[in-house]
Amino acid sequence: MTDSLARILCILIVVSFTTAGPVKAEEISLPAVEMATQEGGLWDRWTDAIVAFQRRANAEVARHMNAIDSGKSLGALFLGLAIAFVYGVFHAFGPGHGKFIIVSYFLGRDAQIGRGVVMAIQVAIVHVIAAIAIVWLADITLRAGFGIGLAEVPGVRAASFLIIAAIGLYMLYQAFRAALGYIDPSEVGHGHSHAQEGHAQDHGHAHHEEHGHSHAHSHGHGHNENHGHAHAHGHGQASEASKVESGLMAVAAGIVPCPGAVLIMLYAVANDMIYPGFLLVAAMSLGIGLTICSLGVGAILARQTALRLVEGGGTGSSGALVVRHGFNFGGAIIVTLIGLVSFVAFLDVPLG
Amino acid sequence: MLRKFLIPAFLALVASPPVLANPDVWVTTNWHVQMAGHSVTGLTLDWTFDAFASSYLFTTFDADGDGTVTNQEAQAKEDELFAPIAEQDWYLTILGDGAPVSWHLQHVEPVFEPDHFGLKLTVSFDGLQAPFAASLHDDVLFFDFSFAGDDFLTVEGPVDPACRFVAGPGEGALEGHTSTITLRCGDPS
Repeated sequence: MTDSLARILCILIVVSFTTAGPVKAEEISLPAVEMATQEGGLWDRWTDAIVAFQRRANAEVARHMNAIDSGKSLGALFLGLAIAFVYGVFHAFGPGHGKFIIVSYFLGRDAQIGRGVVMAIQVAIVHVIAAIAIVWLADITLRAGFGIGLAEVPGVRAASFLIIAAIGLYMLYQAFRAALGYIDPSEVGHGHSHAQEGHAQDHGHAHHEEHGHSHAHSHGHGHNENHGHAHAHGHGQASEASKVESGLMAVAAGIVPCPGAVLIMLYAVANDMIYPGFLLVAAMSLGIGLTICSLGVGAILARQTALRLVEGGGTGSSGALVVRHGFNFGGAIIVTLIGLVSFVAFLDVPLG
Repeated sequence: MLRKFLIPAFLALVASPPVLANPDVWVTTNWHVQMAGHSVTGLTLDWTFDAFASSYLFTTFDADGDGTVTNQEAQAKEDELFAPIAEQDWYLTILGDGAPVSWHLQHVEPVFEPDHFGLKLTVSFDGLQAPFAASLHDDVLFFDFSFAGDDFLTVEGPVDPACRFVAGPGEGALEGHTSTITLRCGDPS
């Protein structure tokens, strides 16, 4: 008994000595890892918060899609839609999604707030359609390779950039015409010469007081009643042209779908959840549209406010005219450059 | 009222840095550090893609759609799919004493599961002592890299007791990189 105990003790001592020796290279050590604290400013924290939220939202959308798939339909669907919508709102804060184009466009021309809202909705709708179309053309998408290639459907992207550049050039043409006196500067973006018809003076002032913007209101608000058929017809044509222009811009800005939306749609197709997938992508696109809408409306209001401030700042109408021309040219040049530079980059042609 | 809120928000956004993060692919990572003689000599990085990207990648590899990826299917797509990532040096930056160092890609291995697509990346380099730093970061922010939970880091080999690993946002040349690990020695700060 004593011998046995002694043997066991000896074995334990030997084992403990061999294991307590110097650390060998093949051993695994697990040091405590310190997590560095974020020391950036408010902006960095805001950006990090947006990213963290999106990371979480992305996982939640996936979780809710799986819940829908496993029979927890209605509640999971509505919650998923809400998350997808907010995901879209924050996702659109980042680069892409046509925000800069929309902002430049609306800084460069007089427009009503309603136009900004309509355009954002158009962008959102085009986004959804494009995402679904891309998935339907899954062969092309899958062959495009992983990564940014998801949205690289040849032609679509190039066409989008060329349309943007063309609209920018048209805006530039109108800005030049306004600068040379062929049209009233406030007519830029409306495509008609209403001022020359002698109506602007009659109505512009009253609208100005009411809406802070003389021309924008003169479209689409009861001109039929006040001015008879011939005049209303003229406005209708101008308004249609303007709508076509901004509609084209919305298509150009939205036609390259968000790769995130495409991935969600592909996931839906792969898991036989096409309708929920469609709704989730639509909700996400509406969220993207809301952000774009805010920026578009912000641009419209910023232009209006700047013009009003200049007009009320003692420089009078000449100062306001200079600022208006500045906005017209600035917006046109930026839109043109976005289109052309993006197209050149698409072709991979060196700029220098 | 609308103007009061929208105009400052608009101006803040327009005046903000041109690039705001909006990644489309979310990757969580586990890090495995190899050490030899208190020097860092290699890294193994386990990437796990989000559910949507995982599904896409798995579907892409699973050419016959039978729910499994054979070696043949994997090999047929590997080069095509990983070429864009490889072109970006796998988004990996390694610094020794604050300067970028070159590293050698030893092994890349995809992990195939329908809802969990992964990528195991093993790299090696000449032994680096503190201050050593490594980051996974995509400049165009298509990929977002984050650490997988609290125990994302394992270390193989001896670590000088005066040293410790710190994870989080990068500094200096890694400014703006959110998934960075740094080996610091001595200085408790």
